[in-house]
Amino acid sequence: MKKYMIKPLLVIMGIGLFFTSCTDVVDVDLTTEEPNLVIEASLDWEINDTGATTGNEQTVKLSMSSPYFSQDQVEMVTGATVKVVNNATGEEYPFTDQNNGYYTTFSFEPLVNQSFTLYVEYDGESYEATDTFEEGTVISNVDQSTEGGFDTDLTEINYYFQDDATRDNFYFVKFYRDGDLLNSIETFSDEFINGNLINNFYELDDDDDDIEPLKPGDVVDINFYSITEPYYNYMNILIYQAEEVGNPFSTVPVGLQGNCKNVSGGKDAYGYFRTTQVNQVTYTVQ
Amino acid sequence: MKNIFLVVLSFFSVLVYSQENFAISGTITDANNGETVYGASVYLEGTTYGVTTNTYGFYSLTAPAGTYNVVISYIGYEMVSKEINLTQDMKLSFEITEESMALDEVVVTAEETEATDIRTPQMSVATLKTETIKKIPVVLGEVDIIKSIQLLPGVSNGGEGSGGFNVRGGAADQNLVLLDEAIIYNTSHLFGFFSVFNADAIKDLELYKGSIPAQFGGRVSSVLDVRQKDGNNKNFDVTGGIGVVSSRLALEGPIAKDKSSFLLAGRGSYAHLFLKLADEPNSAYFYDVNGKVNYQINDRNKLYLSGYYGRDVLKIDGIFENNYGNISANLRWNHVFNDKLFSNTSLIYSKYDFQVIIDFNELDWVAAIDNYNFKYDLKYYASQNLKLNAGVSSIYYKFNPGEVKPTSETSPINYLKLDQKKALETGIYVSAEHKITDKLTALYGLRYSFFNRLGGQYLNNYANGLPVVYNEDLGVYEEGEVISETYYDDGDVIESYGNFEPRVGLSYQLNDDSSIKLGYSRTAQYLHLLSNTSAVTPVDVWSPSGKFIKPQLSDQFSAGYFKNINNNKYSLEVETFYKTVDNRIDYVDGSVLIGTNTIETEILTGESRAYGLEVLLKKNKGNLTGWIAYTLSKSEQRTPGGAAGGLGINDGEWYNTSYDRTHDISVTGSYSLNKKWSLGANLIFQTGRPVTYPNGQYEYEGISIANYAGRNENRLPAYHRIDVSATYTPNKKPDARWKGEWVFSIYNLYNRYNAASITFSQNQATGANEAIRTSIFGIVPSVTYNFNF
Repeated sequence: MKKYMIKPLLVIMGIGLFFTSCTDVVDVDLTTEEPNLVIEASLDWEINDTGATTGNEQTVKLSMSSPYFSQDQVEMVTGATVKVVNNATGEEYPFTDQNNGYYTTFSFEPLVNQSFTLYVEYDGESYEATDTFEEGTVISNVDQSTEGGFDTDLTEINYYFQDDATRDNFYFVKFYRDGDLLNSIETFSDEFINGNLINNFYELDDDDDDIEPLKPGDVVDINFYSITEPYYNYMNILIYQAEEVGNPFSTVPVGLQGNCKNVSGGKDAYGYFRTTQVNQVTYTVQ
Repeated sequence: MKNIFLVVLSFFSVLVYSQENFAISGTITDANNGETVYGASVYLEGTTYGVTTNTYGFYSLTAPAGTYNVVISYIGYEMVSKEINLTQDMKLSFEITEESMALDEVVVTAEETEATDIRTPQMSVATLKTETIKKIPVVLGEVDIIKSIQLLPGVSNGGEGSGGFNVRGGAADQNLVLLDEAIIYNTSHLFGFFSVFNADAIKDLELYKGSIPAQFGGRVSSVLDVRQKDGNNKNFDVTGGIGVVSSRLALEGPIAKDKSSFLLAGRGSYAHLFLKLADEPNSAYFYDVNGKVNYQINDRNKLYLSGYYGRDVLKIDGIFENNYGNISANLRWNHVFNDKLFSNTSLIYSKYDFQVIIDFNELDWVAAIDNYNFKYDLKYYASQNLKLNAGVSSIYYKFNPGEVKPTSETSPINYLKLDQKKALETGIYVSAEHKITDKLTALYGLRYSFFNRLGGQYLNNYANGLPVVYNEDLGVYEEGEVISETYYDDGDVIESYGNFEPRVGLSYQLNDDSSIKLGYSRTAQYLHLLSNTSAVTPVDVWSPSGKFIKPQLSDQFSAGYFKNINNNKYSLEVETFYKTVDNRIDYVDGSVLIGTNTIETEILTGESRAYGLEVLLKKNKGNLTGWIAYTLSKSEQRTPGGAAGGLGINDGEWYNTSYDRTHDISVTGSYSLNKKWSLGANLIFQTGRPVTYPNGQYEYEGISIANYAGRNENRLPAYHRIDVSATYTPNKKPDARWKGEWVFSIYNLYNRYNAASITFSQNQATGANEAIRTSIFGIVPSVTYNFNF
């Protein structure tokens, strides 16, 4: 919820400026660093009202970074060795190279409150990262309204869940409307809302001419992840830096530091190794 | 403390009785409105005996018995003289008349700016009268003190749409801003579009960029000392202006003639002006009120009561409301003990607070800082060659860093109140202006400041005493482990700090027209404005030094060459400075400051340094007056990991502060065309603000993530613009009381889109990465009608 307060505040401060300001797209000369390994290892374990799935099937994606304005296809990384280890039992789960940048396993055994370590070997460098499965939270209900949200004329989707009062919770939510190019993502913690029945909303505003507001018939997937605090901190910065557009009240952007350490002494990989429980809900706008 | 007082007083009395000469003392006032005049020269013709008036218009001058011609001179005013026979201490008060008014019907005289004072050892100072400021073209027709001082060398700001100002590579929170001695915590209205100072209520101001006199303390970069008018004690007077954005009205007049007068000034902007769509029920506006009354009890005693109240409101219907503002009040008592000893006692209150109501989250959030300040200052005119100042100031602060309240039964927000903080800051000083030889004058002083962070709150105790630790595995700074909590009672002192702050200035006169000056000052700052954004925002919170945050300590060296050319027609000032600040706080990557109780877990302590060269060439006389200011400077900071481990912020390397400007050029001029028309223009050029740009991208979670390079390694494009104005004063009927003028101005004449920021993001529809420039003002024409009767 911290983000709840801050983001609207600083972004809306910016709106004050927008009354007289204008924005335009400009050309900027940027320096470009050497391409670096990107590890997107998201071991997501689906849960729902009836309990948890097996979570046996998991995928890790490896790619390379590119110049900021490059529109070329992302360069995928093949030929790496990828495995995940249960830090309590020492059980190893090797991932198979699909030769397209994806590495998969069908035998992973997730466990709540258990930490796992990812090992990646590529181009003579070794990378390691550790994360823990947090106990997940399930969305109890989804509905829609128009009077809430930022704009009282537009439809928003509301989802509800019960926060666990006995511990600090960190959430990551991903919305995807069928047919859109990009996800909408957000994070929040229960710092100001601990133990409450929470309702949160998803609304697409019409300020940006390229994006249509939600309309009847739209199908929206909501992925609701329970995450660890370090990953929350990481995603918080990531989202904040990806979303703020043209706001002089924004914080100074920083290079994101994920958890994939290069243990050979070279540059750390970009991206993150996360282990989460996720509840997925699909909603069709009426 | 009492003992120190007695020592100071006895020091004075020794000097009092060691003198054989006689003293002349009194007050200089403006004949037109009775305002006391600061900085007027009073001298005995044909001798070296002379002095200037203090901020209350008071002077005292000591000379051997004899017959003299006393002369009063002040720029823009007629010279006044009087023959006296000095055989005993005497009182002599004068009224002086504005030149332009006296000569009105005869010749046209452009406003003269002040020639450089080459004699006084005070350097790095700029004095501006409101009349000078009013000549400068401004955005949206509103005369603006903060924008005016940015035309001076060594002063810049974060760019359009950001409040505050930066002096000699210092941060905005390192400026002590005083309005009639009361601390102003936020100097801007509407994100810096306007300043909180209403020019109709302001008499004059001084900006100290270095060599800060010992009477001031608490900030390490500068002091902006703004003084309100006292109020016309001769006639009832109305001044006002109607502009396209805002209007203002000031009333002043005598309450009891020559004994008591008042000033009441108000200003407001029109609510919906800033909105693109007039039909939206949103609003953004400000208003403020200045008030002052004074009462002359007798020759030796005068009371002043002054106050300020200002408020900004920003409302986005159904989403959000933010309002904020300063309030201040000051009760002062001038007391003249005798012809040589002048004192002032002040009781001051000031407060800054803001409120944010977020409708869709159903929360109401407030934060505030307020302080009570007692000040006592003495000025002793010991002899022709020695003047002494001494005083004490004590400030009690209360900080409310934030309180969050749910606004409805259904709100998901829990009530939260962050720890309330209290502190006491005290300063005591003695200083002397000492004419050592005919050519060498020294200004030296010592301030001792002490700061007590007071109890009444809990503080965390961290493992190994480290509120921030470096996580080797993740390569990030994290909150330290809390092992326990300590409660400090109301009577307890959590932490205390004391600092000696020597201030020294030397002036050596090379000849009648030129001098060199040297200065050194050490200053301590006990309050810190928490801000990790590029621009200062109205919702930044002040935090006191304490167990985890140490006071900032600054050393500044400056040297300068000063010359008046061609009988004061031109003045040249060249100064260099080198400044260091220890214990400058910096924010770890991803720090969250708003709503955070334990600020200590978000910061590391580092240092900053700045150095530069400033050149100011002024034309003081003639139809064309104005100045050219050039600054070449560097401002950097460095924050190593220290005890927290790791390399530190930006790997512990020096990096440009966001207020580093390599080149800063300001040209401002006003030209008196004829009796009806005068013209003004500004030209501003600044190196772009240091910013952080991406040096690569990668795909994660289906979106393009920018990878950012080191902090502030890039720069925005250079900032430049030209403003012009024309003032039309219709023919005055000789007897008419009503005086009016039209001010037409154009801000940013060639409509340059100066970047306030450039941000990088992925286009939602195309998926391509873009650089998006935000510029605040294009060309802005405006017209204002000013009147006076």
